[in-house]
This record gives sequence, C-alpha cells and structure tokens, in this order.
Amino acid sequence: MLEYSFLERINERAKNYIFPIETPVDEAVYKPKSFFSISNKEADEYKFKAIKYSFKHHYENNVFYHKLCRERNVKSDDIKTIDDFKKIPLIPHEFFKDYPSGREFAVWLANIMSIKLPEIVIKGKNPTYDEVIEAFKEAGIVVAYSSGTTGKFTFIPRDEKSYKMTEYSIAKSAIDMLQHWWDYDAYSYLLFPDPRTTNIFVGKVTAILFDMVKDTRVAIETQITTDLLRISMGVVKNFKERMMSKFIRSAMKRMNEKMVDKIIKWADERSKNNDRIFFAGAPFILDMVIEKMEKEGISYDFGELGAVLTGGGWKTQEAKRLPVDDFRKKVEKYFGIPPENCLDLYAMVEGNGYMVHCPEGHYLHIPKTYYHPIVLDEDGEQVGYGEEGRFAFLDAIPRSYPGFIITADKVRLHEDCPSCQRDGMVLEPEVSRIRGEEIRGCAEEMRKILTGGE
Amino acid sequence: MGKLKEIREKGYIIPYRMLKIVIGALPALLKAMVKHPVMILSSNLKAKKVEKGLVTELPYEIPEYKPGMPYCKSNKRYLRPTHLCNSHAPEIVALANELGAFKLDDYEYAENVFNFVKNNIKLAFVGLDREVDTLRRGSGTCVHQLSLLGALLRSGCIPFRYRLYSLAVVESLYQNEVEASQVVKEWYDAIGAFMLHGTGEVYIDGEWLTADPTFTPPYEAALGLPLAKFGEDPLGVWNFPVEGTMMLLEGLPYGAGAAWNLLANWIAKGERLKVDISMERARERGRKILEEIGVEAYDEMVRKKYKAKLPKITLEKSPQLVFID
Repeated sequence: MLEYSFLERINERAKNYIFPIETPVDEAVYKPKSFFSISNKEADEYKFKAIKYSFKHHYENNVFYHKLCRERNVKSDDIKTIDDFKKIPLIPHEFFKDYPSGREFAVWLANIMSIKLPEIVIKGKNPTYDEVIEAFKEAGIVVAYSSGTTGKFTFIPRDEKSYKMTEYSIAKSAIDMLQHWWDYDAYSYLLFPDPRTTNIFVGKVTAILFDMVKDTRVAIETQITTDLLRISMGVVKNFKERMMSKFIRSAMKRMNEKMVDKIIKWADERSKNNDRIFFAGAPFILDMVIEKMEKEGISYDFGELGAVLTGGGWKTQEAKRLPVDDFRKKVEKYFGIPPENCLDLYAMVEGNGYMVHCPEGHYLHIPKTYYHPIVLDEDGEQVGYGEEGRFAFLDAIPRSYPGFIITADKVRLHEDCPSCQRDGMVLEPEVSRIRGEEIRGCAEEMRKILTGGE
Repeated sequence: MGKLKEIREKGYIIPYRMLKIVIGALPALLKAMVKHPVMILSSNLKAKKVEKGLVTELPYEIPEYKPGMPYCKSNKRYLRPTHLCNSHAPEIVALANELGAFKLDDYEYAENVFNFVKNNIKLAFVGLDREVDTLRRGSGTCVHQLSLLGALLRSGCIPFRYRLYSLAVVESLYQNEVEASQVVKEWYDAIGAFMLHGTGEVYIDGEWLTADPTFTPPYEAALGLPLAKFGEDPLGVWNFPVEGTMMLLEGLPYGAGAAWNLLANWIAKGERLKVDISMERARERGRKILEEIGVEAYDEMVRKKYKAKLPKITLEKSPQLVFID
C-alpha cells in the first residue's frame, strides 16, 4: 500500500476548503486517507452513506427531482444497500442545457437547486447570463458552465460548500496520483483561464492550485464570459457580434503566440534554477509549446522534478485527436518529464468526481468514497465490467443540485486496475463522445478561443 | 393597401432576420471559396458526370389530374398558394386527392402527406424551384420538401407555415454532410451553424403541429437517428437552433433563392454534389441497416436511446430572487 503522509500535507494547505464534518458526505470527502487506495470495503461504507444521504437531501429539498422520483416510484427510504443505487433516478445531461434567458434564467437556476437560496438581487429588465451569474456569485453561489460546439451552455450552480468541496476533491485526487512528485515548494503553470476571472468550469475548479503550489502562473489571463465563449465557438447572433468575432479571433491568435513564448521563457528560468515544475491544464496548449520548442531546437531535462496533469479533452485541431501516448513521449522528449509524471484527469462540469490516471498504467481511477460510476447501454440498462457504454454517475458532493447524471461520454469500466495495485474501479485511459452527441470538452473550448475557432 | 398587406403577410419581402442571416453567412462562404478555387473548378468539371450517377427512379407515380378534383380555394393566411408553394397546381391537387384530401380527417390526411414527402423525397442540395419540380425530381433541400408538403396540405385545406432558422447539427450529420466538402466545412465551421433549415408547422384542431420530413428513413438509419414521425420536433434530436434566428413565415420571399441557386447550380455545383453523393452513400448504408434490423425494430431500438426523458421544470417564482429594473 502507498504512504498517506501526503494527506496531512494537503489538508494543511487546503484549510480554507475543509468544513467541519457534519454529514456522511463530509466524512466521505475529508476522512479517507485516499480516494483511490483504501480498501473497497472501507470505501463502500463511506460511499453508501454519502450517496444515500445525498439522495435523501435532493429528494426532500428539490421540487423537480422529487417529482422525477415520484414518477419513477422511488422513495428516499428505498436505498438500503449499494445494489439499490440502480433505483436512483438519473438526470440526462441535456437537462442542464434546457433553460430560458433573461430573468427567467435566474428563476430556472433557483428551481433546479436543492438548497434554500440567500437573497439574490438581479438588476436589469433583461439580464444576460453573465449578469445573472454575477448576481448569484455575489450571494455566494458559483454558477460554472461549459459549452459544446453549438454554443449552448451547461450551467451548474454550486453553493459555497459544494464548490469548495469540489476544489478540495480535485486537489486530493490529483495529488494522490502525483504524491511522489508533489511538494508545495514548486512552480506551476495553469494552462487554463484564470479562475479569478472566469466562471468556465475548467478554470474555476482549479483555483485551489494557488494554495497547493508556491508559485502559479496562468496561461490565459483574458476574462472569459459566456458571450466571449459563445462567439469563440462560432455562434454569433448579429452583425456586431460577427465583427467582434473577427476582432476576438485576431486578438486571441496574437495572445496565443505570446502565451507560448511566455511559457517557454518560464520553463527556461525554472530549468536554470533546477526548480520543481508542474503544468496543469489543456493538453493542446502544451502541445503548441512543444511544437515551438521543436521548431527552435529547445529542450529541457526536468526529470522527476517535473509533472504534467492534463484535462479537458485531446483535440489539437478540428476533428484531430492528439494521441495520448504520443503526447507523453513528446513531453518526455522536450521537458524530460517521465511518463509516470504525465497524467490525465477526466471530469465534467456536471460532476465533482475527478478521475485521474494512475502513473503505472494510465487508467482513470474513480474516487470511490463519494462517487459511484455506472455504464449504460443504448436502452439505459447497466452493462457489465469491460463493456463499452454511456457513462453515468451518482455524485454525493453537490448539495445545490442532484448529482445523479447521465453523460454524453463513452467509456469502458473495469472492476480493478489492470496495471496498479490500488483497489477499485477504473475507466480505460481514454474517454470519447457518444456518436450523435455534440463535441464538448473544456480544452476544446479553450482551443476554439485561442485559435480563433479554427 | 390590401395587396401590400397580402405581400407582407405572405412573406414575399425578405424578413430582416433572414436578410441578416444570409448576409452574415456570405463572407465566410466567399472566404472558403476563394481559398479553394482549384478544388471548386475541378469538382465543377466532374459535376455533369457525377450528377448523372445520382439520378434514380422515382419510388412513386404522380397521379393524373382530372378536372373537377376538389382543392382548397380559400385566400386565408396559410391556406392560399405562396411563392414556390402552389397548392392549386394540377399535379399537387391530383396527389392531394390520392393521399386522402377531403376524405380522411385532417390529422390522418396530414400524416399521409408527411409520410409521402418524408419517405419519398430525398434530401439533395439543388437550386430552389417549384413544389412540382420537387415532386417530379423526387429530391430537394428541406425547403423544397416543405414547399411540397405545404402545397399538398393547403390543397387539402390544412393551414401550413414555414419555421426557418439557423442550426447546428449533431456530429453524425456534421460528418456526413459538412465534412463531405472542404468548402462547406470551412463555411460551417466559420459560422458554427448551417445558414438555414426549415421545419413545417401544420394547424390541426387549434394547434400548430411540427412536421419535419427532411430525412428519409434510410438516411436516418445511417446517422443513427430515430425515424421522425408527424408531430415530432427535430430540436434536440439532431438539430440545435441558433438563438435569435427563428422565423415563422407563410411563404418564401421572392429572390431569397437567387443567391442559393447561383451557388448550388453554378458556382459550387461540384461541391454541393459531393455532399449529395455522401448522403446517397449514407442512404445505401441505411437501407441495409433497415433491411437487417427491420424498420420498426430499428426505430424502437434507437428511440430508447434518444427518448431520454427529461424532467420538466415548472418555473416557480422564488421569493429570494429580487429583480430591480
């Protein structure tokens, strides 16, 4: 078994993200020494209590979810064992894309939430999505979003506790797999938008990196709003936006080039000082950096001092997927970072489970104390281990919305990792989209913004 | 005054929203075309030969018109003939009668018309022309199909209108139609959507029902889509409208097809034929799928996938939300 001293070190750094243990969900998130390496028996105890508690909470406090449960003839007392998890009604991911605009958007957000709202003041007769999101933020609710190729957003509201718990979980999950590398005294480059100036989920959730690593730089400093994201995805409403789109494209391309130069300069300094470095974020950005290094004949040898954690999807150009193995080889060739330190993380805006590659075989390990994975066939029936299907999950963390969701991703689930000794379920290293679903991925959004929609 | 009102009602003057969409889409199209002159020229040179290969036998016979056949002569909105949707044309009247106009109840007749258009008229990106041309050719764009659908419905005294909008499509459709031509792909990618799609609306028993006959069943099977039925909306199944582009029209505006015709019949004929070929190949694949699985079994199987039930929210006012003007 692995050593767990890293947990005390994380908790020391993540004080602001830890709440007093009051519920089984708090226990499942804060108590375990690891989300991945504890025994299945211990994990199942945490998971059963946490998900049962969470289901009861949403059943009792969320009008629409209660209605859905009634339609499916399920009551909160029906969950008596983990086997009963299959009774919990799942919400299709499209549900979070089906919302009105203006003031009604605020009402929609209020209606999907399972908590008592604080007073939220919304100004204007026809507020934009960003204005409503800002109003919720002022009241302590983070509405994170993600977008697909259609420019239609998925909006997910998180109260302060759910939001901080999800940040804590991403840090605990990622550092668990990189504990052989992690030290606070390191330098990191966040290859995503600045969490302080965006509500795009992938940027927002990585805010904890500033607390986990001594010095963190951000690759994308521009404020990213829903309008900017939509226009960058190529969805424009009028002539003015079309003009804006052209301006944004050229500005972003220039920014893109500067960003690559800045990252190389940063790596150069870190290499000279023999610093511990960490890249976290969209793989295509690092791929662009590597391309430039290749052209200019630059390479570094960070060795074990370097680590990479990618996330958000693997497209480098329209319809071109970057092979993950090749990427790791390139990282090793140009940064000297070994493949064991180059991992990927799979997550989505609707959930709070962060599945991270194990260094040994790069299988995606599931945080097994609060998150229950399900794989469904085309008829919505659960399939067995090793079979391909649509990913769904029961997520105990969110208090503010029911985290029992069917995604648009195609996965294959295994009962145990074929490559490492950690107990528990894993997904095959690469996840793809279900045929017929629009393309989505946080890195894809960033790619569209930075490359001017190419 | 009356004439002007009628012209306006019939949608003969291009609506501002449509004008915006068309003008907005042009720069991206021109850019994509300017980038690939050799490709366009080469595909145009092959166009004649390719076009011949796409001609297939009509799966139906157009019935003979006999004088005295009943048809709707009303001049009310949505019942009267409009541009490229002539419900008084003899072939339309004859077919309407054969499909049960004035014999079946409104819903049954409308469903018959929908099924006729959906099952027989193949999607093809040809220049815009009359409803009878679509009927004689057996193919057309979604707008052609709607004009034929509308003419048959109006001929049988059932109100019909066009619902037009820009839309983004699901990946399987993108791969089959958009990626078939580099020019179309660059055009679509630049705008992030198809310039215009049409869905029909049919007025029966006090409500407007949706009718979208765009895809024949083999094409739907090739794309993994459920087989659309009368009354079903394609929104969220295979298409995602761009906000702020939806238009409800009684008829098509004059001149709206001119630019499209120039493009589809002349300037980029070869490129649009690439898309038509891609669709024809997909239909062949789809036919095999339906033969193997069976039409009903296929539909049942796919519907389970697409019919993910969404809990509907009844929006209730929250006392915690304070709105200030």
